[in-house]
Amino acid sequence: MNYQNYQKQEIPPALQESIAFVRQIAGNSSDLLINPITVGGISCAVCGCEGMFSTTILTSLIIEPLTQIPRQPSCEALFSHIQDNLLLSMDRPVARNYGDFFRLLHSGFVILLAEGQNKALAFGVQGYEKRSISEPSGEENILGAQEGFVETIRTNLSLLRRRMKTPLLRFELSQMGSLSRTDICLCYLSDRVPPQLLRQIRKELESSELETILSTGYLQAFLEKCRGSIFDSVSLTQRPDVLCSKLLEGRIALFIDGTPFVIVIPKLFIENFQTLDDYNYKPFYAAFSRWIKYLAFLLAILLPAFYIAVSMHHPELLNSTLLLILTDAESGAPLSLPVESIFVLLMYEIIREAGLRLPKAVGGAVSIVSGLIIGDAAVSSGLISTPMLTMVAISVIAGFVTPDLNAQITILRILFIIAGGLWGLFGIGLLGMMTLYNLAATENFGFPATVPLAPFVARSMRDVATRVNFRKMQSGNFTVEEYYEQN
Amino acid sequence: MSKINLNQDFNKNKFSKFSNSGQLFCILLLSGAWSVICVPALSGTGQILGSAAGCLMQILLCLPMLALARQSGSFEKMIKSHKILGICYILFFLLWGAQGFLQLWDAAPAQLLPTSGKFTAAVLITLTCLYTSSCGLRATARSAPFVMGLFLLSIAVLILGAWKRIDLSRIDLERNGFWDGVQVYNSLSGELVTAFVLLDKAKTRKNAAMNSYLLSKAGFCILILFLSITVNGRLSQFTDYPFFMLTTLSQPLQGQRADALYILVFVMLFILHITLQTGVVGHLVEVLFPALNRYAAPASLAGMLLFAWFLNPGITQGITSTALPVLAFLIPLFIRTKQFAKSIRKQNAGNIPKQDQENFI
Repeated sequence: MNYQNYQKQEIPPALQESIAFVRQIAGNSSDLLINPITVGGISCAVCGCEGMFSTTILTSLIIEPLTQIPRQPSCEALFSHIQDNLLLSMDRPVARNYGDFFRLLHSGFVILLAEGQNKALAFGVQGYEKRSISEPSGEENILGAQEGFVETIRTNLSLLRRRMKTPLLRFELSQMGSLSRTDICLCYLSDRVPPQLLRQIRKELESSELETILSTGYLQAFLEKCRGSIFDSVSLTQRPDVLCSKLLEGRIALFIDGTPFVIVIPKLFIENFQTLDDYNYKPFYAAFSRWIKYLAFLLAILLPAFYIAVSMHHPELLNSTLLLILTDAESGAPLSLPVESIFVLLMYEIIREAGLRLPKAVGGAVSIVSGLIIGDAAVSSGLISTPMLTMVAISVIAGFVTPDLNAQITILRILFIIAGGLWGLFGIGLLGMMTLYNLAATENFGFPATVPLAPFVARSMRDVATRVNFRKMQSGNFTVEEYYEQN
Repeated sequence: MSKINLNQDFNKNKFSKFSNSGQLFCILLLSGAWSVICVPALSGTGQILGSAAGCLMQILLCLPMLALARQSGSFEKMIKSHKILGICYILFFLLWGAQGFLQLWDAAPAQLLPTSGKFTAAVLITLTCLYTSSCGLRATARSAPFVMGLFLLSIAVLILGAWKRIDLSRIDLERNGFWDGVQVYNSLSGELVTAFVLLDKAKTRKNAAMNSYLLSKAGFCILILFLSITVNGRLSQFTDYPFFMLTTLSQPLQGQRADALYILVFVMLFILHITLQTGVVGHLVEVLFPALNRYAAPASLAGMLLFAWFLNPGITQGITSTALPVLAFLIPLFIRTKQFAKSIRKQNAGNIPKQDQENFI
């Protein structure tokens, strides 16, 4: 037998041959457990992967009932007895080849091989260690649920199902990755999703030839159709409640086993400014908070660049008092304004990276050292001017308001500083147009990222320019298909 | 019923139907606004009336193209069957773009662009246009509403600044500039030809988009002329570009100047103007010579720059002004008449497309 191409190799009826082949494929891996057992007078073997199943459940719900089976005339009779008369577990797939056998084995199933049978019975007794449900770290909110997705796909599906008790919510579970055989699951509301969009996504996923899928980034590339765009056209969420709201609008979610992030398709640019808390507050405050976010986004990208452009090329835009303050502050600084600001920003990025990668306890110390010691020392030594540090700090803090746009803000901020430093507002205008065009050209499966602003959809302004209350919103019957731009 | 067509390639077909008439209105008005802010020296208050008359004339000029636009695809069919006509349109857009570059070179010093020379400014803008035109006409249409927001904000700032400096006594009723006004206004209206091509692609409310565009552009032009006369006064005689003089004189705040902010608008309008022409040329090349589609954007930009470099501004303006009524009025009129004659022939033969008759104008 060729164990290199074992996937489609059928299970042989001879038990010893089958066990030998399993051992050969697994290369005698230490976590492979094969225990001979006699069930109903027929030689069998129970196979499992160490640490992947619950020993307690296996003993009480599988092994005990199996040992009590009366003598059976043949292996066929034994299997039909188990399948017809015993409900050993809810999930009882049958493996007919070694591809299925190993996929189930490595998913935490316990598999029963029997002498004379060219198939194996699998029992879902998964009991591997998993992280318990906790608050998502990147998507905090105040008034919403404090539950987030975890790394286990089935737990995530149950979190969603608990919130959407409708048969219209569909899960399509499959495996991807020739080596990892990672479980992925397409999820949608069957009455809301554009069927052709669903078909197109399935097609895209089928076209991938990945060996492993370890995180969302592996599949994201296949689901983002717009090349060259700096803005995302698929979104990620860790929150089941957020995902429910997206599904209600006809979007499609993609769960990947092993990651707490779920991919949602398509994504609109405006979604970067919408949070779950917006829908919990009173509309007037939610609308105010949304406009603050728009302003923060602009400040995060443009503030240091405008400061540099105005100070270096257009000082007439400042009044005399402000101009004198800035001149006084900058006169002692040894570096030019663009170099100074890029230096501060790069220092911030380095500190941020250090804080992210270090253990939490040490990460706090990094913040103290960087904020108090380096920051204070840099200003008092005259290396960095106070107004520049203020501008950069405001810009960085403003960037935290829209965490989904962090990557874009970081790069654009530096580019705008360079453009503003070299060519003033003229440079900012040029780069602004390039960014705007880049955003405008971003679309995914025919859904433009700029919608509902361009193309303008007046009805959607109630959740963009303002946030109307749910009495009005419930009459919307909105699905994302309305935003589809026909060629 | 789903609206999504699975068979389409999402990465291609960048020139496609606009989702709404608002996009068409925005791109035409913003492209036209570029021409208006570069309006040359004033000849008097008669020019305001002349511009209004020019606008009315253009509404009449647009009737055949609007009648033709009721049947989407008419323009494409026409240029496919008469390739030479399509080439004429391409040449017009190249010349119209070249005129834009000439205006930029001329007006850049007035805007005090912080570059080492107007050539550097042109190179930077060309590089930007090269990128923006590669994004396709659809991206232009989507960008337009955002630019429109900034444009309206700058106009509000301008009016706010100009308000306290308006002096109605500067209006000289005796000066006669009516025909100058008509002529200047018509020479600024290359977008009518652009509109003819784009109307073929607009989905709905084409008339509304065109009427709004024509009226808004006329309103903007008259506003600029009025403010230039009442705010600039005699100073207008010392400048080639009254709009920029107006932005210098109109300051909304006492202690600080705001004219540098117009640089942003100036740059954005120009890029949109050139990208639109490049996009339309790209579309025409796609229809006429599909194999060359890939090179259309860079080639058309290069063409515009070459025309701008080698041709005298007077010649460029002369050709575009002459070609404008032919391409925007006579050709649509000819096609519509031909279509109408064909429908009459069919009617005589017993096949009665009554709607064609009703839709003639």
